[in-house]
Amino acid sequence: MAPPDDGSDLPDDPVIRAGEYALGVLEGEELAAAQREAIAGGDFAAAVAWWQQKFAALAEEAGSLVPSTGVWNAIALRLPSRATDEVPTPAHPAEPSGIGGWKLLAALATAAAIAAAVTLFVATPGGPPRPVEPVTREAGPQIIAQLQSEDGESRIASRIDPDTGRLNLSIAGLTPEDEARSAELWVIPEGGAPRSLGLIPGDGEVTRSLSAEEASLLIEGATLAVTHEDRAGAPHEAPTPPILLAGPLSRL
Amino acid sequence: MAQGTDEAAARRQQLVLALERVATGDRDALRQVYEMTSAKLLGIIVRILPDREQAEDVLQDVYFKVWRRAGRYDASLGSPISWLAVIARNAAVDEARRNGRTPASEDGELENIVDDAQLPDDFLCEAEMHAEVRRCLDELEENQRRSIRMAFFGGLTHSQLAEALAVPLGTMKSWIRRGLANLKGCLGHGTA
Repeated sequence: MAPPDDGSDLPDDPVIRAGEYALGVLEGEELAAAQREAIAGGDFAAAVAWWQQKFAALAEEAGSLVPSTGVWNAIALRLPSRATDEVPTPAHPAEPSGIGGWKLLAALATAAAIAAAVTLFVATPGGPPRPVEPVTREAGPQIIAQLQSEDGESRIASRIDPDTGRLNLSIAGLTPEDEARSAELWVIPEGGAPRSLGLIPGDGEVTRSLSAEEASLLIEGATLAVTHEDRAGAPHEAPTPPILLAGPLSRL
Repeated sequence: MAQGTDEAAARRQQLVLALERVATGDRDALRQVYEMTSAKLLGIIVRILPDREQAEDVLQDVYFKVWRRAGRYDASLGSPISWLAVIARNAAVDEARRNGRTPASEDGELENIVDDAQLPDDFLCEAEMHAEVRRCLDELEENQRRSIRMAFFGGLTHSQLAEALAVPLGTMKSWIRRGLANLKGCLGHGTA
């Protein structure tokens, strides 16, 4: 009997894999591999974007439906009351050090934008494999960020449980060569200045409680970032470039 | 025809400018984006989440996301309505999964609750691309087309699709893979 046809006789084509990924049908190892490729950018990411465009055109055939009048009001209530709240001026008027604060913010914003572009795909269809899902479903909404360097060697998966006020980090590949230095975690509120969350190990799992102030910063839309800093003087006032990892926090 | 195309282009440009203003924290601009696109996006969401109330909750979330993400829209990467459509579709699929629903929308199941007739925001659509995608989908074998549409509108993975259509996993992978290969050829990837 012939083996069942699973299309595996088709030549391996990254564009087709990008299509499977954009469509959201991949699972498990295939999904993880595609995510790594998409995060790395290049032709694969471009192909994913190409498919997203095509599928978005498909979405348009869904037709239109005018929302109830209350919907806009509900949205308006969730917006900050004054537009100036959102204008990206540093929260601390005094520049903490010689580091160009705005430059750093710009760099972070770019990094966040890149990460966001990736997230758009990653958060899509298949989403990351979610072995923890049954737990999180019961525990209420979780805030997560998955940060990864281009080569995939440095990674942080972070999860914040607003109910218990706990931060969980799973870290890999962030140990600096210089022993006098360490990875330091930062949160950058939307439009605000970076705040240190302290030094973190270069590899391993960490869980700790958050102060009320920290918890108030670790919300959807804020950016999480990692730099290498001198161990001395931590937590620092401001991060030192380069930003090793950065990406947005999103609600799971 | 030419005039319609111009008008569509002008509307899209208007939307791009509004999104740029949203990125600076302009609430009126978000309102404008909402006026221009909310019916379209609700149409997409309701296709995945037929419960109207739930769909409108997701719609709220979508515009709140747009408020936060508008600065990340890059006009060189595609049309603004596609960008918004992807956000809406993903938010709806996420919500469906969160509810543990098996989103098994069949082709056309919901056509009749969607009022396709009115809307000025249809000017925003990539009419040509839509027609092309639709034509290419129509050229696929039934099983391929159906699987791809269910994956897209239902947010189903390979194994969920296989289960929903009661076929072996390998068969489902083959349908999707062959369908995408045909679409890729039909849509001219790499040539445009």
